[in-house]
Amino acid sequence: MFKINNLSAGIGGKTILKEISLDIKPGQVHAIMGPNGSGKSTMAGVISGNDNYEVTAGELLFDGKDIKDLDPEERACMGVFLAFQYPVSIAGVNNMVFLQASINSIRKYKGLPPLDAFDLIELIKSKMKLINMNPDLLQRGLNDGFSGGEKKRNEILQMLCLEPKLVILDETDSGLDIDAMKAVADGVNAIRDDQRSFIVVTHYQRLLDYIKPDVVHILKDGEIVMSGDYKLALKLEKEGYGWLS
Amino acid sequence: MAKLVQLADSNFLNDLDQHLSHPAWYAKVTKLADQYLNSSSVPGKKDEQWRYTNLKWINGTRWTNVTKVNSGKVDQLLQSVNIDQNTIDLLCVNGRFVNPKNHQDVCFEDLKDVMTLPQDHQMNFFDGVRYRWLHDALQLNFNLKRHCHVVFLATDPHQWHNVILNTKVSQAIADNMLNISVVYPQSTLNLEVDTQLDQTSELNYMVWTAPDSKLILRHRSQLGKEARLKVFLYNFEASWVHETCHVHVGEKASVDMSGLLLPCKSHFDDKEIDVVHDSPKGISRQQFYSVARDKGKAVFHGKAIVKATAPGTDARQLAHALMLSDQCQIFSRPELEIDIDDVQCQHGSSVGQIDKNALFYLQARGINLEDAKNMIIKGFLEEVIRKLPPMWQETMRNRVAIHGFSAK
Repeated sequence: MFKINNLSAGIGGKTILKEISLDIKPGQVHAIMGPNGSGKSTMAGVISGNDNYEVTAGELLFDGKDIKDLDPEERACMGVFLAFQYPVSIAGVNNMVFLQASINSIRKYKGLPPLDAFDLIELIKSKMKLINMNPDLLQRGLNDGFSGGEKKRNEILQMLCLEPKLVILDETDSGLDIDAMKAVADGVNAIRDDQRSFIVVTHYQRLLDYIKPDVVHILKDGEIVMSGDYKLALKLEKEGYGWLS
Repeated sequence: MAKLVQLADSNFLNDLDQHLSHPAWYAKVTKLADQYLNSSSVPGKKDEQWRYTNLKWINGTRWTNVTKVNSGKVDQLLQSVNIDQNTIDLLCVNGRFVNPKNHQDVCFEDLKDVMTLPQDHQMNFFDGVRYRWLHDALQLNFNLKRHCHVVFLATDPHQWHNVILNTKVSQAIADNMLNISVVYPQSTLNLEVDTQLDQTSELNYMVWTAPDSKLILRHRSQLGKEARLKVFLYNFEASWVHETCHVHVGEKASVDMSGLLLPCKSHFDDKEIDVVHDSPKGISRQQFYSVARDKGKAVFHGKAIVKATAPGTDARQLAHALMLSDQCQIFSRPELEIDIDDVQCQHGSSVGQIDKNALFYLQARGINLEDAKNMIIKGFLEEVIRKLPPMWQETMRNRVAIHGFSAK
């Protein structure tokens, strides 16, 4: 489904990711954990096509096709979704209008007709209920004046509406209270199936209590230094990263 | 005044062309504006208000006068600035007030849903309107039921608007008037505007220019106690604009000035704003957003002066600008001059390109680069468009879209 082969990438000439390889099968959840500055967000950015980062070697194979040279919008249309650690606020761009543009853009790519206003509202409202999101936020500017929890819920709402094949959650749990974290996890679990895969970037094991991973990787200094099952996350929670060196 | 009465009594409804030509007194007003411009010294680069202005064309300008407009021309003028005629209550074409739907002379019946007026004043109402808006105050006791949208179509290059709202006799003469001047396409307009708002009166004032026109506007305003003025400067289709606004804010009065500067090609748009607070507890807002493309040049110079006689003043300025090309230019200079401690004053200014993070965010949701850029620009402009009266917002969005900022 999604394979990373010997990926090296960096920013401003500095190498951050060093020959990383991952094989994520359909339906799997892979957790990426690691200390600050280890390259977790860089990896999320590189997969989603952020041109701040430069890929210097390797492949990103999505359904067998190397996507590393594609524009971010094409990757999104193919089914790659990044839930941002810091969702951008854009005042003046109505949240509903943005969702409509996004949904219909992806539908157009898939050769589907655009959703009309009634179907669109019905779809969005049904998804909002899943994550207990305030409907008033639809009429506001995109993430404009949203609290941290509201922004993260909005990310999950977009994920639910766009139904991507590969979801990357970049520290989606950061800054969330327990209820908000549970709502986010409920959203993710609502669309888990045997075809959809997840990369969950997190510092804390708590999110993984709600979204059970199949594989846990530890990223350190731009390299995957260890992989294991859920018990690895429990060990990190208990002992930190000191024992790895 | 005698001439005005004589004009109203004559029957000029039959011949439309004749009806739409200049009335005699209107010619006097335009001549005054012409004389005023000619008596002003030719601006130079050393004049602060003209410092960034391309002055080459001014000396060689021929002020062509389009003396006659027919009914078709009126439609064409309104279409050129994308104004829906159904939203207009009163249309003034070169000094004559006509019904916007049939271009016939207005009668009181046309306006019965807009205002109430004592029976004995109805005969003189339109004289009053002409007199009030174009000459001097006339004290009539009428009330507007809702916003009254008055559109001035100007084909004469020299215009002088004297808007006086007087509340000494009447109760709340104008609850909200939207006064719009439309400039003939590819023409040059020299517009002098004087507004005087007495106690508690309110005025919304806007000048719209047609594509490729040129505009020199000098706006002077005096606000009485608790008067409220909103000025909308949205002349972004013009090829060359120099607007100066000087506002005196009275006690507890408020002025809200906003505008969009969207120069493209080699267009130039300059706003010079002076707001003087010399009485207590006045409020002023200046909010100007610019988006420059190609070799376009936008200048915002906003100043709020708070005198020692104006405690409790609340003055704010905001100027944001986006640069979309390597060759465009933005000059932004918000200034505060404060002579007293007991005030709240803020100013802010930013100039930059479209935020790359915002672009990536939209692209990561499947929206292509061009549409993402347009969406961000439209959102940026929306912050100012929202300040317009609601019924004009959609029209303005359409104009912005026609001007080149449309997200699919």
